[in-house]
Amino acid sequence: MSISNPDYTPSPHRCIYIQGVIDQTMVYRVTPQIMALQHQSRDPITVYIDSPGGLVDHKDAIFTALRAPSQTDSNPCKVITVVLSLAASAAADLTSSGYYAMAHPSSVMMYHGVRVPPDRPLTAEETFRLAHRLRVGNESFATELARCSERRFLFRFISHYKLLDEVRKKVGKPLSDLESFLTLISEKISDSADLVIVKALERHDLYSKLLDSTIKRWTKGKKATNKSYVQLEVDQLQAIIDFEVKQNKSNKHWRFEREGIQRLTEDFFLLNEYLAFVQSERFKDLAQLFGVFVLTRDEELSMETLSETEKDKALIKIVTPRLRPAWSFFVAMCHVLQQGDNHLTAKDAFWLGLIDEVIGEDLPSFRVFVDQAKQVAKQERDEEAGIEEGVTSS
Amino acid sequence: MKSDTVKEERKQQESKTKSQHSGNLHEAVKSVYRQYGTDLPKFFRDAYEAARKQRESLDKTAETYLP
Repeated sequence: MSISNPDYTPSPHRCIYIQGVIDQTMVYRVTPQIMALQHQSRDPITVYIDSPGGLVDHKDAIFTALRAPSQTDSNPCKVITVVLSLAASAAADLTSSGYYAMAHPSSVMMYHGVRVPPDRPLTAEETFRLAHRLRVGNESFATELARCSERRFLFRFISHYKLLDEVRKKVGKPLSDLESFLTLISEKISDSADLVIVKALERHDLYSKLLDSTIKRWTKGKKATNKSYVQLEVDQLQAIIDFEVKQNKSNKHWRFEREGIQRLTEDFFLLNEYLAFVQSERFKDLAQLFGVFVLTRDEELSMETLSETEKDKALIKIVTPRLRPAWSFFVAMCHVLQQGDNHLTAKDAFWLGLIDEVIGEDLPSFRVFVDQAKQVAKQERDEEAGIEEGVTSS
Repeated sequence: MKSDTVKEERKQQESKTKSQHSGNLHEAVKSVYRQYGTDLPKFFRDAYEAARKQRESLDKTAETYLP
């Protein structure tokens, strides 16, 4: 019998409850509980959630406490989040921030952007400042949500990569990998989640063109490694300016002094985020671990003759452009989730890569993958040991 | 100086634990690849089937012990 992996299994013996509005009173209540659990051991802490949300500052205070290092261990305790019936607003963000996030099948999640508390007095100047802060806030929350959950969405994409040809055949159109994957998951989600996908695709289209155009520019001419950091930023800005000018060629009223400069800033941070992602250890780990599952048969064969180091390099080179559209779509989707109210079922949140598992449902979760992969490895070791034993005894 | 050495030792221990953990998973993924190739959907179908059998066997065990 397989033993459940403590990193992916909620424990009511090491837990806190986030029930009701996330406010200062809740921060005061759960902080001592978190400290006590961290003092007991460095095992994962489960956070059971049933909350309509609250202030982001209070959610952050709780999450910072959960991720605190100890005197003897700089690694934070892993946090397993479990939605019991509702996780809205800041509670939804808290759920997705978990190392492993799951939800009960009938639970509901709701993502939306930053809002102003209703009792806040507004003047004309304050309204202008607030509008700026809300926009910046939405951008940064979208980026934060994307960082927490990108591995989930990419794992979902990789797990279904083998089925994408079947989707193309069924639809009878030459769809891209991303389009095929979205067609596949559209059949499994609610209308509300489908609308999120439609909006995200529009936004993704722009991201995709921007990334293609700037990457092409970078790879041209002088090697990026010979350039200073500022020179690279200059190239990046130049590429974005060219891109935006080209995109808005037909719009006579378009100016940088109006919406253009705003767009430039957004594009600049998006590109930075992309660069940070593809150069990060988290992407390399993901590509090295699961990259083999998105290779074609020819690519598999061509890699057989390579050494382990060469194989890793070749794998990242092949896999990066294949995963890039899925990543940029996911970032676009996280931005869309910060606009309006987006009500999602637990299954929606799973298929959109916002949580890892729906409790009790047979879905391709990371926990199932790890458990079964270890079983397969054990089986293989046992078979090898059996063969060796046979050879020795004969 | 002593605290630096302790810090360094701790860092090495943490990185060793991390690489052992990811190493185990890496080996497990390689076994999956050897057995299933790129067919992860089949791998998951087998996983659900194994889980279903395990649940059934647990139910039977429970039935045996229940009055």
